[in-house]
Amino acid sequence: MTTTTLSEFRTDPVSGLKVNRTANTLVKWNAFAAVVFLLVGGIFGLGVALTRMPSVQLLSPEFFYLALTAHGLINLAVWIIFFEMAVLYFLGAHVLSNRLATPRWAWAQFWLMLVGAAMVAVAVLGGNSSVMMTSYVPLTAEPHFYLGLILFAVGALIGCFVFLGTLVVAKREKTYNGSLPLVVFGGVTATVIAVFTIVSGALILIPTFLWSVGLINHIDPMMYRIIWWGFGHSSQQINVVTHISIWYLIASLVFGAKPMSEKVSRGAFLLYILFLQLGSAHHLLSDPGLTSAWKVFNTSYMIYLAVLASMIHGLTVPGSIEVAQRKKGLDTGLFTWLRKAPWGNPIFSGMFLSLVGFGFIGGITGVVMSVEQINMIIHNTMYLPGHFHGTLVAGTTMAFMAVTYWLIPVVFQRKLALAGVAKLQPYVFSLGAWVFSIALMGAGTMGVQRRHSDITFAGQPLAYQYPEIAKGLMDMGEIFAVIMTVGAIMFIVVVLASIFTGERIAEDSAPWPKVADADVVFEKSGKKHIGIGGMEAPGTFVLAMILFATIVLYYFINFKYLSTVWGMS
Amino acid sequence: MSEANSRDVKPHAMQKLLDNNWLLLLLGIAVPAVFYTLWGLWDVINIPIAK
Ligand code: HEM
Ligand SMILES: [Cu+2]
Repeated sequence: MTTTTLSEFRTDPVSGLKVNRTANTLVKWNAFAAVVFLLVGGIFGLGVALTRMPSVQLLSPEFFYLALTAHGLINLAVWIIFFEMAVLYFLGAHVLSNRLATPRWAWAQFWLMLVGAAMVAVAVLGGNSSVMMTSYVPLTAEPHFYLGLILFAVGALIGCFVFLGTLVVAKREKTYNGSLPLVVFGGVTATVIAVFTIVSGALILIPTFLWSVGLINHIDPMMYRIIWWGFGHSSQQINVVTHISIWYLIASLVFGAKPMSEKVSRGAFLLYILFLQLGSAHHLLSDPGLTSAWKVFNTSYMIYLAVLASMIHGLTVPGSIEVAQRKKGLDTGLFTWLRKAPWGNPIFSGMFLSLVGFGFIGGITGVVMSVEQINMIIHNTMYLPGHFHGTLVAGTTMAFMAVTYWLIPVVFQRKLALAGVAKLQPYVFSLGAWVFSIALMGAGTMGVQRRHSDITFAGQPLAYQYPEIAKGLMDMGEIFAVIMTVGAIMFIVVVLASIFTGERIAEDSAPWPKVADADVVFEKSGKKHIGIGGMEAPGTFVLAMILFATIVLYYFINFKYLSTVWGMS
Repeated sequence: MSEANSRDVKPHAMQKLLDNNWLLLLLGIAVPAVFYTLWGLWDVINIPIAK
């Protein structure tokens, strides 16, 4: 190996990882860009939220759509995907004591995404591209809107292949033995889904760009929707897989936990690779022209295999934490392991709140509303933003924030500044996100539609009166949106303060104390069994049963509600 | 779990699949491309044109 000399690597005192400097720089820049965009997107989100509050109505309708487009694209695509690039490079290089395959291409990824995002931002702020993130034809945006998105997507695609190439390097240079560690395998799963996602995006956005400059004269709106959602929905699944990998990572970092069964967890990731993307069809459940066979096959039969995989992860992550805690002596009662968990450590609290929020708020509602019949009650209502802020914000974004608190010392080589703010941040952010999501879903169930600036329909030819309670729910939800924004700003302030003013961690400083491996502690204790009645993780089992019962109950409530929508006589 | 999922009863077949990133990539693109994208487009193409 001519390219790898020793000085390219440092041994990180915080994590004990062997860190490649070039890879580290790329992780830093991608993570930093992500956080800056989260701030920008969050500000637009606040603007949108304050407009949707019936008693405030901050922005004019024109500006509302501009802000909604900016918010959706910047937070959904830019913040999340920049962060995912950082995670992939971290998994491929840091976790495997490896170098990046082609740092030059990795820089191309970074710059293409940055330039692409900037072009989109310029187009949206120019005011003639308020087509929202879905940019459904025949709504037209400026050509540089589509071009920016295409560059951004190409950048991300390059990042995926840099990651896959990095794994080839690791294998060839034998930086790991046997199979990839589970978290890195999670990265592979995310990458596979990302490639399908990005190819779908390119397939539809390139013709749409050509159409916007007049080279193509027609794009079929139905076909657009099918291919666009192959991109729009699958991109959400990249997030799910990435944040689940982060859950596994944090469980091992904070507790020295091991997956309950590597085989089962890997099998669950495989189910994701095969079936998760088919769920894209749930966005088209009200589309005419698509057959019920297609809709039901994709959203019910096949997607339940992916839901099964989510339940497996939802069970094995807290299960592995419970087992580790019990092995370390917290082996009494059902929930002592959970009560005595380090709730003041934002890495853990953020991760666990992400797990619960994603499961109970985003997950349950997503599964239920993907049922073709039930979807009719809530399609295109406020229920949707309620649901996906449960997945994307309470789940993914919270998990990304939690792992950032660990990445700051490891990657940025700084101690966390404003530790007191960081400690509270996951609670503030989750409180906001949870109540916001639930309130919006409540309003949506009463028919309040999404993507509309004024629920009073003042001055509209077709007026409609929502029940007062719907307005109340919107007001309440948006108050919690403000709390959520405060939580996001707390995060950003902690990150920026740490990066720029945090105490430096010298490269040769003493290694930080390591979390004890649960198995080692257990062996020393001389004990033979943990758990209750032969079950190693009874507390997690109870939690999983509660989740399961909630899904079933929620499912029936919705069908009951559906049966009252049209009175039959 | 792993055995149950693979048609091939040979041990380690599943692990081999899981270790083959390129095959996983192929599967992860082919399955949704067929069941979601192509079948969906096929449905739309087959909508009769109004006379
Ligand atoms: C920081 C606090 C946030 C606030 C206050 C907020 C608020 C809102 C509101 C009020 C809507 C409008 C729903 C409608 O009228 O139809 C919305 C839409 C949306 N939000 Fe957020 N949100 C926040 C964070 C996020 C994050 C972190 C993400 C992604 C990771 C995200 C993704 C989206 C998306 C994709 C839409 C849909 C846009 C569309 O319909 O085109 N939001 N948000
Ligand atoms: Cu979706």
